[in-house]
Amino acid sequence: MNASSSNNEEIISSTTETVEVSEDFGCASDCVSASKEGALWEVGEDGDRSAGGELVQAFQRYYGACMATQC
Amino acid sequence: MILFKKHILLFIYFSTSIVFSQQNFSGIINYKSYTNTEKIDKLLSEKSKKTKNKKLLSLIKQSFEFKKPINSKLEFSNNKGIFTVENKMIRDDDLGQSMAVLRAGGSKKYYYNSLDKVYLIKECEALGECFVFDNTFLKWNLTQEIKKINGYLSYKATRDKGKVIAWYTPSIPIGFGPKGEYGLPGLILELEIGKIIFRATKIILNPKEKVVIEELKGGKRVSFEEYKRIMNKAKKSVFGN
Repeated sequence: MNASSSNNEEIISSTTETVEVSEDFGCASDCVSASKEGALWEVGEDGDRSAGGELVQAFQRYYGACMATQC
Repeated sequence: MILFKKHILLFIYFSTSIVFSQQNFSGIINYKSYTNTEKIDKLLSEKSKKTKNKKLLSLIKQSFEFKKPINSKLEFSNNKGIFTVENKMIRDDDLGQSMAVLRAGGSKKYYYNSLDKVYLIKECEALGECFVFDNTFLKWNLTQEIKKINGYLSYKATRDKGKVIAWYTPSIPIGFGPKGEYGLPGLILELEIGKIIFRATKIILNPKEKVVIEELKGGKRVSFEEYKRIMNKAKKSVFGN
């Protein structure tokens, strides 16, 4: 009886964790798409000499800021 | 008339070149870069109409919140030069500040050697590994438009369908400028590129202290095409095809 009760507790705890992880992925995923679009907008029309390096760096900065301020 | 003006321009360039080439001509040019607010306001307004993504709009606005100018420096001596951005006090968690620095050139080093026609960029940030790649030549269109900058008669030149605008002075016959721009018959004193404007704020010619331009050290030496391939691969992993 005791063992069965203990099993139930574990299941409830595991479900809660799954919901939290799912919410985190949602925000991170939004940040990825916003940062992609932001980086493309950033370097889109510039006569860039950096062959895409600036695009990657802009994405990294946007994503870092998005995760820190919006998730 | 245009041909006559071009001849005068070339005469000024070559005569000053002869004067300066007779000595060890060196200098330090300090630039400040500012957000091109007029252009940004227009672009932001267009973007706000096109997207409903609140996160994106918030990030873009945040990236222009840093209002102070970014300092950068071009040092040259004996037809060689190096351009770097002052980025010692940068806060990584401040998107506005880190983007302002990135727009000015970030942690990249731009190397110029007009004697051997070697122009290089050293980049260490994007993939966490240092690369040195060729800074390819881009064709300028020279115009007869003039204005005075810091007392120097300056001419307007454009490239990339007018998206990049440079004001250069043939009075200082060094064909270098900020953020790896080069190839004009004189020093670039003002440069409108992307979302920012560089302005020369201090010009020191032949300073007392010797200017030494060192070759770029370290990093994997690759061609422009090879670097582009490496970056495309990195881009695909994030942006898809």
